[in-house]
Amino acid sequence: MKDNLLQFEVFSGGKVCIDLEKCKGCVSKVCIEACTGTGKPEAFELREGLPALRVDPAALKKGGCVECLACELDCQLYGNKGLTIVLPMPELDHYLEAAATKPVYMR
Amino acid sequence: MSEGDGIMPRLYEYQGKKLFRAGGIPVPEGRVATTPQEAQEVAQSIGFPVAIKAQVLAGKRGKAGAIKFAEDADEVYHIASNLLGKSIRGMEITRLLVEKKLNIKKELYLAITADPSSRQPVAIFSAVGGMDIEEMAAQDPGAIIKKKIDILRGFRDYDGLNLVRKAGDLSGAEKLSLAALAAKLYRLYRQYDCKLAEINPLVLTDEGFVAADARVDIDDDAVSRQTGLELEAMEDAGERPPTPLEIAAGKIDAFDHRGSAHFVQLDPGAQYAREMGLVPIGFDCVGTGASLAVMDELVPLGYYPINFCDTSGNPTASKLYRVTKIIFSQPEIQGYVFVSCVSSQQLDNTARGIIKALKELYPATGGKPNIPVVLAFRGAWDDVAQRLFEDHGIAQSPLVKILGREATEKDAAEAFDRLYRAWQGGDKVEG
Amino acid sequence: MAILINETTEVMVQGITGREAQLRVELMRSYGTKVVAGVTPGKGGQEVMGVPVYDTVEEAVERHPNISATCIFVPAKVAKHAALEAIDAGIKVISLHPERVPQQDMLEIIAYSRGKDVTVIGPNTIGVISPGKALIGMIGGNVDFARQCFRPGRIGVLSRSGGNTTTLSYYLTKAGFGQSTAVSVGGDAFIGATWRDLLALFEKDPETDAVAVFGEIGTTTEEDAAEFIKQGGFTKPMVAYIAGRYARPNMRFGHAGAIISRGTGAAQGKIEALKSAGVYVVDHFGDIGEALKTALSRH
Ligand code: SF4
Ligand code: SF4
Repeated sequence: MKDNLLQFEVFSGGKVCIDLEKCKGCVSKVCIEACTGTGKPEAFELREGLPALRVDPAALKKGGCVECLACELDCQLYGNKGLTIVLPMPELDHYLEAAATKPVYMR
Repeated sequence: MSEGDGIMPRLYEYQGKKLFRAGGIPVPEGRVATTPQEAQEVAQSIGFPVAIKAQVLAGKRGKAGAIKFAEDADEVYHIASNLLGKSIRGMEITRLLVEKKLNIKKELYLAITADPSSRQPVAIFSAVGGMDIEEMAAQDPGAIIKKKIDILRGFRDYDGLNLVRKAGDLSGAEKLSLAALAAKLYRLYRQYDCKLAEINPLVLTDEGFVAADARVDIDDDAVSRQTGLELEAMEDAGERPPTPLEIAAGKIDAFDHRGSAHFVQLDPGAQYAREMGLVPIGFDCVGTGASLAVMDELVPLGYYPINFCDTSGNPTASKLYRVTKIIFSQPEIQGYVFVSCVSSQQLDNTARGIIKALKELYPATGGKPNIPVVLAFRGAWDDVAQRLFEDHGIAQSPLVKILGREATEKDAAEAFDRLYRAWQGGDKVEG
Repeated sequence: MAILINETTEVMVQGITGREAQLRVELMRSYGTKVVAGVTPGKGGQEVMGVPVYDTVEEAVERHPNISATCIFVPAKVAKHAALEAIDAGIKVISLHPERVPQQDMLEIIAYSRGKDVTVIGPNTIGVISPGKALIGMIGGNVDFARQCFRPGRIGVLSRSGGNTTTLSYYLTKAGFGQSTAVSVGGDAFIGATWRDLLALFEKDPETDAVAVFGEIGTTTEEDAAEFIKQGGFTKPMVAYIAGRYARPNMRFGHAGAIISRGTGAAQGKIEALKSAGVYVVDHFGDIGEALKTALSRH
């Protein structure tokens, strides 16, 4: 299973995760294109028909990935929802657990 | 907004007095205690009567009951156990300063700060002290004497004498000693990068002048070079400690220098909004100037942004994502408004951050919110930003309005007003 | 002519070898600003995008005697030294970009520049632009955007908000008014050139017909400017928007800062002061272009 997960960390804390199983069923492979705009690192390339990193993950973590979220949003819309970016906020989670009144989006 | 309205590190009285003592400004004998037993010990070692002063960063501590006097050890114990653990304006009392009670012959006022208009340091003196300086100024403006200081030249003893010479009921020796104190206070102001160094009251006792209180505000922007100060003990001088959401937001900026996401809860709990009969909303602007200008349009229409958020300096999309989640986590909000000033920052990033946040907050609807939302994108890539909201189906929600560069602050506020009214009307029909 | 900078101004960049400064050099040059020299102590002899770097300002001025403006992109804690060095070398216009310059450093810079033929813009400024001629700093952000928002014309612009320097100019452009020079004066409580100082320059500039300003709560900038107009220091039409009318009234400071600025600092007082000086103050920022038409027709 692990082999089918491609991931790298980003500067602000968090990671980009690609479930390659889903990519197998993806026609558009739009993530590759998404990461080519101004200032974006062109993080991905297609290798044997699946996304692979063409940039050293250490460089991406250092700020090479500009955290524009384009790959994730485009994958969600036009790909096979294989790519998710997880950006944790432990302090917010603690707040929400403890909060007496739940925020409006939970109602 | 200018920094004059902001927060700055302010020292506790006992910390300020430590600096005073080191700078040759007399302060009453005393020490800090954190338990009633300790308070008794300090009192016994310095002798009775004593003053017990709660160490909180709030003004008017006397009126708030935070300053008490004790004649014996039992009384000290009683007062100390009463004060410790209590809160004054949201700030918990964890430390008491136990001091020798002063024999007051006269109360005066002395301060050094910077004068906004002449843009120079200024020494301020009044032969009447002890009360709030604003009240003093209102009652008897003539009693307050100011002297501008040439920062390149410094403050000389005769400047001090010129400051205090008009105080009629002081002896020559007392005036000399006051002048010397003013010079010392100015040196302290310079040495520690103060925004304010204030002694109120400065008390005349049989033993001469003593600083009965100490207010020292350090310049936030100079803190990094003030390594001699106990920085870990310094706190913001805001009238309240940071909220959990502010702490969470603070982490976003701390971990990532790319652009800012400065979040402040103007009205945590929306108490003020409710009192004023205004609808509390979540708020984000590019630039504080834009925040103020948009607020000026929202409030007359009946909406109050209960937070301020400045996402300028070209922040990453991930920063916008995080701070948007925080803004939406304020339980009281009945809507959300984002407006950018006409800015060169990449608004497509802003849009992606907000879209990801909305999609995760509202998974069931694919990001369509359950409160009215207005977003005005004005600047670089604003067309892309607008299109993204359409592509993701969020713009199509009846509760969402996306505006572009042609929109003014007023347009954004009016668009929000229309959405909110329609939403309320709809609710009523359904209910 | 414009004020402060134009197409012939030779500009120096202090802290030129930093990453941020290099982005700005690119912006300035592509807009047409003559960036002729850079200074970074210890890096003399290098080049940044073809611009020669010197160790000191004195050396840069020796080699390029026509330098009259500098933009400072050094860390806040050394901003004072960079500014004093520029003043000592006789630079006429200093654009001080760092944020969070210590207050007392700024008081020293202000005192040092007093009585000398120098205008210090900032700190915490996004810079100055004389549209179609030159820009210094980071105003406009990128060259295409700068050309869209700022157009050559005859209106002077002053703004206490960096971002709204652009918004204000954009509103004017939309209403058909170009700008002679737009200045982001910096958002801090203590700044070098105040509105008063800059209004005096606009007054003398034959290419400026009127001035539009964005003000906000805090400080005495607006009140001081109103006083200056009443004294006859500035006689051209002026339109203003003052933000912060509905900011929650501040809790009383209870300390010396409050009495110094007694009766000043709140939006309403600023608006009244400006109105009593004959300034057209608009209620809605977006109306400022239309208000300018009225002001010009009535003047
Ligand atoms: S677009 Fe998504 S699903 Fe398709 S290849 Fe890329 S990551 Fe995989
Ligand atoms: S977040 Fe942006 S920069 Fe990072 S990998 Fe995705 S598209 Fe590339």
